[in-house]
Amino acid sequence: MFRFKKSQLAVTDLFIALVVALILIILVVFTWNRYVIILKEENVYKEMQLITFQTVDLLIKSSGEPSNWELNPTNVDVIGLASSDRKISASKVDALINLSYNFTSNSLGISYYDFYFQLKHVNGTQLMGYGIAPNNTVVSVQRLVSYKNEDAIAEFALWK
Amino acid sequence: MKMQLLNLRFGNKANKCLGNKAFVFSLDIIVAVVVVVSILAASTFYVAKAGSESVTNLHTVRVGSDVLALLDHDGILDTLSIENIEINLNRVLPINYQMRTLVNCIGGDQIAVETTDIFPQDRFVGNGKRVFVTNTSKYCIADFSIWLK
Repeated sequence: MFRFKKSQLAVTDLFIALVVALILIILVVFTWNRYVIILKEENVYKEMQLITFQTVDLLIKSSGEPSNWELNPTNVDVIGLASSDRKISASKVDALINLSYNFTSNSLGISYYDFYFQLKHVNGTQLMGYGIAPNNTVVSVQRLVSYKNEDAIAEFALWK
Repeated sequence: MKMQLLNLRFGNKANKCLGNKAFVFSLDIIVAVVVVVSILAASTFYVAKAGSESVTNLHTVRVGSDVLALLDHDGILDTLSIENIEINLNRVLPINYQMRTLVNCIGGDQIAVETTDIFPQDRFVGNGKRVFVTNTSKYCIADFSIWLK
């Protein structure tokens, strides 16, 4: 009788332990999956941020390669819009507008994403816009530049 | 009687050595569960926290660099005037940022132009500098500190 009670208790203990262990395992698996999703999303977002920063830096600080590419835009190797550091050249902007979106996207090395580039006056008035307006997850960076001897904001949005 | 025979009674005078078994089992489970849940909670917190701070900070520094570049291009830094620099800095600086600038010039008198904001202690402060030559041929270094409001 007593031995039976003891074994019954041991089995109950085992079941309780199993239930607790199962709950913890489920919790760990669920959390692990959640981490994987969060880290994946985070990596994608960080990558997009870095690409955006690098692309904007390239556009507003570099005059491109060749530096007078605006004279023959279809032969451009690297697109840059600056006449000097953070001074945007109006002729390069005009040349950019006349380039096809796909060509520019490939040239900037961001063909996996879509982008929209615009120059705005500091009061918000749009001076030019190029690309496809975003309708999804967007990483947007605004930089201060000088355009046509006025202070302006260069905004680059990357999305997919 | 039953519990005594199962050696699980707590605080039994006759069976002191074995009487705490049930309590120890419960305590063991509770400690184990608390440890596991704590580890999960801590890892969730750090995974959530290990976010985009570094990239945001990078952008903050670049905004400061842009502002000084614009002030330099517009010839505002050349004036070495606190009022002039401060007015134009507030004009171009995005509204969600605050910035402090210190200009030191060599090749003449050393001039310090310092805008007046106080450093925050509770958030990231980005720093940088820009070297420029004034139209009176003074070599100057503009240091900036920038932070989010």
